Order: sequence, then structure tokens, then C-alpha cells
Amino acid sequence: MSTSSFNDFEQLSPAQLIDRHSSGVWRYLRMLGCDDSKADDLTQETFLRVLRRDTFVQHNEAATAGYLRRTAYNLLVSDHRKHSRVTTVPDAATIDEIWDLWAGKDVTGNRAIDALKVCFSNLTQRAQTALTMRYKDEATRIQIAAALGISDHGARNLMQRAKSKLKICVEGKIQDQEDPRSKVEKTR
Amino acid sequence: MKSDQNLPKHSSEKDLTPQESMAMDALLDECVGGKTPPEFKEVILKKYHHESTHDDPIPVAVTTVSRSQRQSQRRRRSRRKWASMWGLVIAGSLAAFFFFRPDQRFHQDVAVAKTKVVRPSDSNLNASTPKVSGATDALQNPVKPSNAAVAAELDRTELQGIKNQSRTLSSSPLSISTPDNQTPRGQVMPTPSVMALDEPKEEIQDLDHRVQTPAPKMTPRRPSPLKLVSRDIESDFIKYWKSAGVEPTAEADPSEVATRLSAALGVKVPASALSSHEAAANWLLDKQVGLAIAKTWWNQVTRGNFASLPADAQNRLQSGFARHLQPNRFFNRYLFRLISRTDSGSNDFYASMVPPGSDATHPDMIASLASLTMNKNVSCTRCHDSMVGGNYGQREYWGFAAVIDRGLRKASGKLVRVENESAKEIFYETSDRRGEVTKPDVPDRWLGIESSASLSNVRFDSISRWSSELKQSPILAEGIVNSIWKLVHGRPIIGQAAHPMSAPMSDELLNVQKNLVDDLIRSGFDLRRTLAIVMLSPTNRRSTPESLRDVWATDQSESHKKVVAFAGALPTTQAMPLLTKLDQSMRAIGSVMSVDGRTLLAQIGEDGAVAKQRKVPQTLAWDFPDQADSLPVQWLQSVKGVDAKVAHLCYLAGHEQVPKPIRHAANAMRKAKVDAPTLLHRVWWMAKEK
Repeated sequence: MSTSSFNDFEQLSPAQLIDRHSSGVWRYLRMLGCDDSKADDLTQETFLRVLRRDTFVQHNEAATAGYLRRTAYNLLVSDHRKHSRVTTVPDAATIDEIWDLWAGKDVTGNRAIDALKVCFSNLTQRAQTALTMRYKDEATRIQIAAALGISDHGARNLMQRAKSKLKICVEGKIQDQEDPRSKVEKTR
Repeated sequence: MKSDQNLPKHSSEKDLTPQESMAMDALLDECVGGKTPPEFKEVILKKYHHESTHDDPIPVAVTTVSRSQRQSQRRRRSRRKWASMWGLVIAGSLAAFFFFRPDQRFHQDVAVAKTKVVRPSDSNLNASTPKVSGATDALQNPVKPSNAAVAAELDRTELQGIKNQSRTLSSSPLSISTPDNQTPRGQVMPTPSVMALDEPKEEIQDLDHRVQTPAPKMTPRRPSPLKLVSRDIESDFIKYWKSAGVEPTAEADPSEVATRLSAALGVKVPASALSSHEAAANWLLDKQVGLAIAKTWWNQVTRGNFASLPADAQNRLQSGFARHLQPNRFFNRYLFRLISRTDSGSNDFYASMVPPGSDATHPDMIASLASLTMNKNVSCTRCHDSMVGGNYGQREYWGFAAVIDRGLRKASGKLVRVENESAKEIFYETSDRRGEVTKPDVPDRWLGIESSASLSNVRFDSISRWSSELKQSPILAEGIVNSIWKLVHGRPIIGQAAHPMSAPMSDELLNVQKNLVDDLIRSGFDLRRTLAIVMLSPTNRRSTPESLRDVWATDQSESHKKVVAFAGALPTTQAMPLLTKLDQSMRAIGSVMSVDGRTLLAQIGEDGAVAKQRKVPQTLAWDFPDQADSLPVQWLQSVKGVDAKVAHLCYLAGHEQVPKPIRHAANAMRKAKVDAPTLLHRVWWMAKEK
């Protein structure tokens, strides 16, 4: 490999690297099912591993982000093996595909969050209430059902339906941002 | 307001896959729940600069790139090889130095080690008549030293301990380990004195020979006071619950705890026995109590096969266990004799591990022995390499099975001891139907031996070699501790990775196990002490969550999480027979047992010869899985087909194959369009109590 290929890309210092990629790695770990504290630990460990590795090369931003995510994934698998945890880790390829769909070229994942906020506000009031109770107040499905005056199954269906809508909406927004031409075609 | 709960699905709207759902949950947690990524820069850089003082751009020089990964690995391996060689040379020199040098101090150490061979008979010389009050002392101070030199050395350690911990301590050690600054707490090394404690009398000669080999100087350590151990465990659990994100339920009324314990131990536990550790220990001294607990324990560790033993064999094993609830009894010795086939109850022991007429490689035998003696869950590895947790292989399983098979043979329907049998290979079938063969060998890592520490030429290929290694291994203490925990709580501390009711793992939970294992070893495998600690553990004092009845298996509710993480108790209920569970499962889908009603009922377990119609309770059990969202265990996702999933759950519950009634019920539920998670939860509910 010629040196110019990576010299063209701005080499980030450790501080810059962490600034740029830590949110993305943390969100990726959360998507893999880690809780906050586990994601915190593994994010730190990921950067330390990579920074200490003398063979680490910054070819471009996407490659660096992919490398960090793969390191984080491997650390999570090792952690599960070490502690014989019950939860299985999703397949790396599957979760990478989801990440690409939802985050696109944004290595931080900020755009996905912004898109989700917009999409969330477009949901019906009841769906918003249900999801807020679930994710903010950590209410059980029975409590949500009681608050909305619907059955247990109704609450589940409501939230599943809302999440499906959010997924479609987020993917659409990310796609529009990545490829503005598709937006133009849609409007036609 | 628009209600969208019953709107028809849009064509483009598909259910999220489990991975998508997990990812969406994470995003919603952040977007709605406010769980945003923290600021990492400071903390990572701080750790990073601990090694490197410069925050330069990451080295990306040509030299770095030109070095291939393979070369780098080779260099690392080379460095490692050199380091290992140097380590061996230094260790060898030191060993030679100590071996050949007539060093006075070394001999003194060996002499002290010999005097540390404290035996129950010695300690009894100074013991007063066995009084109830004295039992507490025995519990906290399991063995009194008879040797003045040892006592003096103990006093010094004790003084040091008081200085360090500002605690008033008064007792003597049972086991010896290296000082704190040399060995991490809980990491008990097999030492001459520890071995001595474990040796039967006839093996003292052997011990004398062994102590001639240089060993690190040992400082006596004694078991911590009961309350201290108990406090450590309580503190670890509080941290554990915090890390698991659950709030423990309020403390239950002592009478409620006593009722629950009575059901678990198989003997009536008075509430007064739970007032303190001393009271619990005193209560355990009662012989009838000991025999009753022994029966429950044996039934548990043998997967219920103990009950099929002849009465006299049951009595022998029960008495053996109950004897070791008395003061100054070393349970590891007893287990060692049983396993190594040098005890009169050895044949009963091995016979109790399998259903009558089974051979030595029966799944119950291998699973029970691996669990009790090495704290290993091998329920998956009989058929395939373990996909979750443990990472054990099928070859390892069959290697262990071959060791057992080598030492036991079936003759006239009974398992009998075989001596000097040559090591034969054993055949097994892999999951893809290939035939494989392996030699008898207990894997090093099953015995807690690091691969780097193991000697390549040492193979644990016979029962005697395996049991000898086991006797000195903390892994045996782990197995015993988990069996005691399971006796009281219904499941081990460190659950099987594949089991639906396993507590979530964390370092705090590992600490609890470590504390208990450490204490058991230090106390000389005092079973009564461990049982008293577990009986009064904070987990056992929890009340039942109020909403548990309503939400069981329908959701990952807080109550559910609490119970799984030992932060709440399950309601005390009597085990429900499979017949009743089957009936409830069928009634839940509006059906009877089969097309012709009672026919299937009559077939269960009695070959269609049921004369008397049983009265079946009309209300559903509190834990009947009415509706489930997710699979009982996530790894079932990787198993294709509902039939295979049902079979896996039955294997996990200890069945050799899917029981016929469960298969019928599963088929009926499929016809009734019961969704897969609910169906599998019901199958697990029926199968779990073998």
C-alpha cells in the first residue's frame, strides 16, 4: 500500500479520535444490547485497545469507525464469554447492516438520533405516551395499558406498531440525507 | 384523539427483527429516556497517558504500515517464548538452590508445615463435652491448634490482623494460605498444610514425602468471623442489585422465611433458628435435621436419582452427609473418598447418580458429577459444543465420560468399581452425524488449571488421578458452595448460562461466590458453617414482589427481574405434578387432554393403567405462562424449528428425550395457533421439574 493513500487523510490525535468516534462506538454497543455502564466500560476499553495498538492505521474515517466498532464487538463477545452471560450477542454483520441503514455515513450516530426525534414527534399522542412511559418512566406494559385504558395486548401492539413506523421514518430520513436525489424523485 | 392500536398494518410496515428491536430500544432509550453517551475524552486520555505521556498523533509512519500483522504476531510470540524460557530458567535455579542447600530456615518451615496438620481428633482433645453453646465456637473457630508453635504463630498473625482490621478476633486457622500481599484474597493455593487437612490418616506418609519439595512459605490464615463473611456477602449483594438495576424487596417476616426454608430443605425450620448465625448453626446440629437436609441435598445433586436407591443405601449416604454437619468434619475428605471409590459408600454414591440399570456414561452421571465436583454445566455438550457461556466442547464432555466409564462397569444391573482398566477410546456422534473418538481425559480447565500452568505430560485419565487433583482444588469448593446455594435458593449462585432463571452475571455476584468458596476452604470445608451463612443470606430474607403473580412470563417486568437477581423471593408453592401442569396447559387453549378426553390423562407415566381419576385443581397455577413476549432463553433463536426448540428445553430440564405428554401438549398448542414464545414458555413450565 502506498503511504499517500492514508497521508491524504487527516490523522487524528487520540483526543480528536475519541471526540469524533466515542459517541458512535457507545451507541453501537448500546444497539448490541449493552446497558449504560457496560457500554461506558467497553467504549473506554475499545479506545485504549486501539490507541495502544502499534499496527493501527487511520486510512479514512469510515474505516476507522468500522475498526473501532469491530474492536468493540469483539470486546463484548469476550466479556460475555468471560462472565458466561446468558444474553447472546447479535451477529456482527446483522447489526452492522442496521447501523449502516440508520446512521449512514455519520460515524457518530447523531443524525439517527436527530431523525428519530423528528419521527417521534410525528407519532400519535397515544403512541408517544406509551413510548415515553416505557423508556423514560420504565413503566411495565401493564401500567402503560392501564394508563391508556387498553388491554395488555393492545399496549404491546401499539408500541410495536410505533417502533416499526419509527424505523421506516428514520431510514427514510437518513436515506434522504445521504442521497438528496431520492428526495427529489419522491417529490415528483 | 386518534387510536392507532387496532389500525390495519400498512403494507410496508413489518415487525422489527429482534436485532432491529434491540437497536431501536437503544435509540429510544437515548431519544426518549435521556440516556445519552457520556464524555469519554478525559477519562480515556487519563488512562492512556498513564502509559504514554504524549498526545501525539497516532503513529502512522511507513514503518508501522510496512510491518505485516503476521510478522508482528511472530515477534510477539518470539518475545513471549523468550520470556517463558527465562522464567523457567530462573524458577529452575531457585528450585535447585532450595533443594540442594541445607538451609536451616527451610527445614524449619517444613517442620512448621508438618505441625500444622491439625486433625479433628487432636482438636477434640481440648474440646469440652459437645454442648450447644460450644457449637458456635466450633463454627467460628473450627479447629483448635494443639501445637504451641503453631499457636504462637497464629497469635502473631492474629495481632497483625487486629492491627489491620481493628477487629477483635479470637480463633485459630483451619487452612493456610499465603499472606494477603502475596496472594489475592480468595485465591487459595494448594499448600502442604491444606493437603494435610484433606488427607486421610493412611496418606500421611505420602504427605511427608510431598512436603520435601520446596514450597512457598505459608502464613497461617484463619476463617473470618461468621458475621464478617456474612457482612461481605450482604455488601456484595447490595452492589450487585445496584449494578443489575433492581431494588430488593422489603425484608420478609421471619415466619415467612422459615416456611420457605422448610420447603427448600425438606424439614421444618423454626423461626427462632433464623435469629442469628449461631442459632442456625445450633439448629443444624440436630441429627434428625441433618438427616432430613441430607435427603434433600442428595436428591438435588443426583437429579432425583437418589430416591430410586434401596433404603439401606440411602441411609448410608444420608448419614454420611449428616455426619459432616457436626463440628470438625471435613466434607471434602468425605467427597474425595466417595469419588475415589475408597469409601464404603462409594458404590452407593455412583449408583445414586443414574437411574437404575443405567451405565456409567448416562447423561445424569456426567452432568451431576461435573456440577457437584467441578461446578461445570455440561447439559449442552453431550450433543454439541456449547454455544453459550462456558465455551465447553463436546470432546471435553466425552473425555470426562470416558474417565468415568474407565473406572465403573455395569454388572448385574449395578455399577461396580473396575481397577487397572486400560484407557480406551470412546466413540460419540457429533451434531452433524459424524462419528468422533476421544481418549479418557478430564480437561485441565475443568479443574481450574490454567493452560500455562499445566504440565503437558499429566493427564487426568482415570478416576483416581482426577479425584486426587480435585481434592486439592478450590473448584471442588465451588461445586459444593453452589450445591448448598441451590439447596436453599433452588438454583446456583452462578447460574447455567443456558438456563432461563440464571441471575445476570456481574463481578459482584462472582465476589459472593468467591467469598463463600474462600470461607469454605478456610473453615476446612465446614458444611454447617456455609449452610448457616446461606440460610441467613440477604437474598433469603427477601419478600415476594406483590405483582409477581400477574406478570410472570408476560414481560420482563421489574418483579421478574427482582426474582431472577435474587432480590425478591418466589412464592412458596408445592411442586405441581406434570399431569396437573399438562391439564392446565390444555385447558388454557380450551381443550381437553386429547381428542378422546381422558385417554391421554390415563397414559401419563402409568401406561394407560390409571384406575382412579385424580382431582385436578380448577384455577391456573400462579406461574402458569399465560402470555409470553420473548423466548424463555434467547439462545433458542439459533435452534431451528419448534420441535427442536421443545426438545432443547426438555434436555435442559434434565430429560433424556421429550416426554410423551409434553410432546402431545406442544402439538395441541401448535394446532391451537399458540404463538411460539408462549408455547415454549409453557413447555419449559411443564418440563422444568423433572
